[in-house]
Amino acid sequence: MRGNNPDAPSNFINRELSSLSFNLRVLEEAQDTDNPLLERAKFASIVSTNLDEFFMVRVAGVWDQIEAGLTEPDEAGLTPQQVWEQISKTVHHMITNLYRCYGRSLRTGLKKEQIHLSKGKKLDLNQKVFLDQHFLNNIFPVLTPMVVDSSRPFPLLLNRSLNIAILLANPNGDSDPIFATVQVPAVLERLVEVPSSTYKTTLVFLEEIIKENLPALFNGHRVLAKGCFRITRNADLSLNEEGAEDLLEAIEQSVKQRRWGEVIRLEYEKGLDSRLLQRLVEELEVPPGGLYEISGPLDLSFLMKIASGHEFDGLRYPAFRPQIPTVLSNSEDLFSIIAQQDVLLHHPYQSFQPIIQLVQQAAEDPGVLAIKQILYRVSGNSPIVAAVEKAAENGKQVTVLVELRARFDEENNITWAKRLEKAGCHVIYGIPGLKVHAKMLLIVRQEDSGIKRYVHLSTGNYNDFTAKIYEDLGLFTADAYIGADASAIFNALSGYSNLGNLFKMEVAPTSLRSKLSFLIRQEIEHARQGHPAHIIAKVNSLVDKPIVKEFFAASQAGVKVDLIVRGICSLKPTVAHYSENIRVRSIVGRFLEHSRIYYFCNDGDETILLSSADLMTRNLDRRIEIMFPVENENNKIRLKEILDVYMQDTVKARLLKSDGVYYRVDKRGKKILNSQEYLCDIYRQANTSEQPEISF
Amino acid sequence: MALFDGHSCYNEDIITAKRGLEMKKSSRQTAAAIDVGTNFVSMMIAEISSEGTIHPLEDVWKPTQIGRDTFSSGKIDLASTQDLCKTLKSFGQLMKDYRVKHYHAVATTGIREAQNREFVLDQVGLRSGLEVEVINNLQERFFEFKSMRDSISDLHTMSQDGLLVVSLGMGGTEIFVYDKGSLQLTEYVKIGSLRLRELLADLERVTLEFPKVIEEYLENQVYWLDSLRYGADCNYVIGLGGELASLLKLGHLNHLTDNRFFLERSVMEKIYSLLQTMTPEQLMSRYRLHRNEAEILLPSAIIFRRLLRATKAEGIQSPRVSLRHGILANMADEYFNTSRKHEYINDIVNSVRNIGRKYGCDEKHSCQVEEMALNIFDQMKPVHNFGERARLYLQVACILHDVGKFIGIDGHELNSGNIIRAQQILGFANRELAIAANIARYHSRVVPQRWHDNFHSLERDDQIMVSKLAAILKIANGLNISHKKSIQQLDLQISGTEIIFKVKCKGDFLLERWSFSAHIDFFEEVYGLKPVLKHKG
Repeated sequence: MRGNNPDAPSNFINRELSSLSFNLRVLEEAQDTDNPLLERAKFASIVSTNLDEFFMVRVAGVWDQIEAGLTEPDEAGLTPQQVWEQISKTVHHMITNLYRCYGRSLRTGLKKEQIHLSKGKKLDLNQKVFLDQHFLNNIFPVLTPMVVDSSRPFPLLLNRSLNIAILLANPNGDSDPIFATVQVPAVLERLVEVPSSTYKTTLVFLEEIIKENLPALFNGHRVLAKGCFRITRNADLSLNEEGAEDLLEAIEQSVKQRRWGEVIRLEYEKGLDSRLLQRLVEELEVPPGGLYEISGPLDLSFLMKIASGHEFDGLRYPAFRPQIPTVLSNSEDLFSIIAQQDVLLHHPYQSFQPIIQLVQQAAEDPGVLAIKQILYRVSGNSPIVAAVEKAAENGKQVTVLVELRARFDEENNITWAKRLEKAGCHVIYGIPGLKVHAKMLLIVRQEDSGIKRYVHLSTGNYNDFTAKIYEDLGLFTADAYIGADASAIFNALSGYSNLGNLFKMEVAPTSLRSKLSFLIRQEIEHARQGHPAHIIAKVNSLVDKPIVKEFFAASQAGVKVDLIVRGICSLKPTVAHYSENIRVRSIVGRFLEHSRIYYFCNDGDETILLSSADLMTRNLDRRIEIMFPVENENNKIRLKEILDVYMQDTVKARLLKSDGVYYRVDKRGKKILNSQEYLCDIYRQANTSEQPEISF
Repeated sequence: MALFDGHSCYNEDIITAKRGLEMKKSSRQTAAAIDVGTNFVSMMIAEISSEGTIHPLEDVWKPTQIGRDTFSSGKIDLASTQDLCKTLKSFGQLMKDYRVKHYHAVATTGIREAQNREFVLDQVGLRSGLEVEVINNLQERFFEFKSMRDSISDLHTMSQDGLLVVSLGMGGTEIFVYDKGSLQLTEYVKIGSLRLRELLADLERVTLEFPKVIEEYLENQVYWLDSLRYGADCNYVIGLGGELASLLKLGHLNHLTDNRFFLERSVMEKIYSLLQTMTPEQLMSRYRLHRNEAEILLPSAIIFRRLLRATKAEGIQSPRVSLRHGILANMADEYFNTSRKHEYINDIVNSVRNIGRKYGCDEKHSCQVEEMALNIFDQMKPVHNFGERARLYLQVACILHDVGKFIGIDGHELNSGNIIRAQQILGFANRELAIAANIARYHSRVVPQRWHDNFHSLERDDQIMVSKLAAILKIANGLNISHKKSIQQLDLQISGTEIIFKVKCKGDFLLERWSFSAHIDFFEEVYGLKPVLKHKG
């Protein structure tokens, strides 16, 4: 039976709420006592920073819609006002659970492991003396207390900065008390280690030390009340891209009229004096529902620092070494290997090192004429950047496309882009209006048999650091058609040429969307003819409505659709008559699932594509993205096995049900399988085993 | 050939070598061909080999407004010029990626016909560091033919059985007739699809019968076709030009066999009647065409249909050719001196002989002069050090040196020069036509003078070349003055400041000796060697 209104709100989930569901799944990892303690702390930290970004970009966007007076409901039937309220409700609940987890579980757990996080209340004399000294020598010099009175206006507070609000007694007796703030300096470590005889490590919060020493800052004034607070501002630099699509123009109008970076959220320490709170709310114009009382330290990102330290290895996931695929470890000369066969790399199970090695080899190889690469969010001391720089110095023609608009990362990008320019690289700074999200490396090499192209295509960025945490897939190939396509794409990006027809690759915003639609429809056609029809898509997010509707149509035609969507998913699966053949699962674990894999059964002639693009409208229409086929039979088998592992996961997988809620997999009758752990094992075995039949 | 000399200050490292001088002969080279067209600027980078193969590495293109500017206002706008400079500069950057040392950049109608073309080219040179050569239609066709010969295997058979090649450009249409295996005739009509539309654009707004207007105008321009000597005998028609692609789209022909499409007569008729009823806007939306494409469809269809109907062919074949590919094929031929190169020279020579016939030349005499002159040229190679191209100029001048007699005997050499200059010779640049015309113009007693406009307008190097080749033609013509083939053998020998012509001949030699002596002074002047005639009897 067919549903005849696929646009019905009951078929969709609001994307902001879906995004919160994802964060909730991350929180569940922090709560999961099966995870090692420090890893749980890390997840808690991620929840906290995710919320920051969520407020700065997404929630700010919703607030903009409300301010612009928009009442049009979204696909899921919610007005901006309703979304705002739901977010507020959900986040308050989430915060409660997050801090319950922190206070009852993480903090006590850490204490048991000899890491004591202290508010500085029960310190012994030695420790107090130490802290007084420390305050005078290291903290006091960098503090800037700000008093607000008739001649001094309320200070402009930095987004995401931690501040202390203070109420001082007025020396003129009966007059109103004086309001003041001081920022907890971000340049200093959030936690100060003090000598301790009881615990191996005792760490005191910086803001608590400052709070204890306030009289030193406001000499002569009595401190009536004090408390920490933190603001989150609308910090979306790319609002034009991110706002709800059909409402874009209306929002743009309102954006022009408003002050930049209005406050979206105010977090404050539990028990903050009501006078202070009222003053803050008034001065900062906090929107209703934007107030969050926190029972614990504000901003849990310090947990990441603790978790990433060098000690306490026993409290982490067992050590894990990314493997070098056997085929690559046989020879020093990567070119000769790639010339013979396509090599698929699965990070972080397999090492990112071969990519660095290839660029390094290219930099030194006398036959290499040119290197072209898209760099986006590379790490600070990136060996890739160093290798590319070296190549330019060695006289290779190096073209680097630097996408500066990596959110919250712009400054970092500019610095090393300038360095590359100095080294003689031809640096291109993105395409106006289109963010370049594709990840490609092209090496042009003069060989005895002629000029040959070597290509690396990937679902993840050229960042050796995140490649250890992000799950991604990359392909080395010397396929002439892919080479020509990659070259044509680079030519288009460099402004040398308009993009013509490509042989094997697809590019957004020109052909990627239509190719996906074509493949889905082809599957529908097979299903109608009674042939087996199956689609598997593994993505980070699924939001694009036209694609969602294609999936509905596929489901209705009897195509089996398995979606592995780590983050936001606006499609509601298993809804009768619309999506009953669609299953949506999300895997949140130790590694950040980041690869995009598209599998189509295609009546037995299976098509598998990898892509940099998520199924979001912005990726398909307003970004430069690539999609490329994996054609080598062994690689295809391997990808199918990988997808299969994800579908068998019973530990880290959650299933999205038709009520829009994610549930753990019903384990009854199934073997216990943690996909990420399983893949770790498989790859390790593949490298140590002599048996060639394991295709990994 | 446009290689780097004048404007190398910006991009010295790209092109360091001048073709023919520093090019090292290896079996493979990376070369680039740039086509500054009317709607697009494009470049192909390829590996060319001594076997004549072309392996493309890059094929890039950017749209341009040049054609629109030139055909509507006669001039190229500043913005279009700047765009062109930017595009070419980026092409130069891409050439660097492949360490391309040899490139040939050409510009066609769009720039050729612009009033401000010299300024545009100067700016292009300064800003992009690339030198662009403006080529004429026949050079353009020459390159296209090279591209075609590379992709069509049965071209030879077709040219045996009568083949009409129609090349429809934005600004003009060329017609070539092949028969008995070689090129017989070339004609150029200034009717191009874009030109036609721009020309008649004002009328489009005032009449609903625009198609009819175009057709009437066109008929007025091509009525002579039916009287063509060869047209009716042609069994094959090959159509060239980008517009054909859009016509194929309308005919739902998207299947390529043996590197070409085939547009049947009946399909052509259907497309023709369809176009009568549709506006460009309708075409754009129905066939997903760009405005540029849609607007020129009707004129293109009318031209192709008209020409098809003048032959016996069953339809129009449309091979995949590109100017860039042809330029590269030509670079390969020139660089590696392939056999294909000689076939083309034969084609050129043959079509030139046909021009001679058209003007009623004494073919026997021309042949004798040609044979003698080339003989002298070849034997004097160490003295003049000219290449094959110069030899071809001399040959063309020899074949056509008497065409002026068609108008009148008196002062015929002057008319010969004028006639040659007005010819369409496949692959000849205007400069080259002028060289051949000047050589022929000085085949008799008159010697080049500074006040001769046609001579004076040549580049200095070309003036010297003309003088040297004319000196050879004068001697060769002199030795055949009786129009009787009396000389059987000719050997040249240099002895000190003299060059000795040892002649073996039969019969009376008095007239030849007298005529020879009349050209001695000029020859000595240009070569610094005194010709001496020795008769072996």
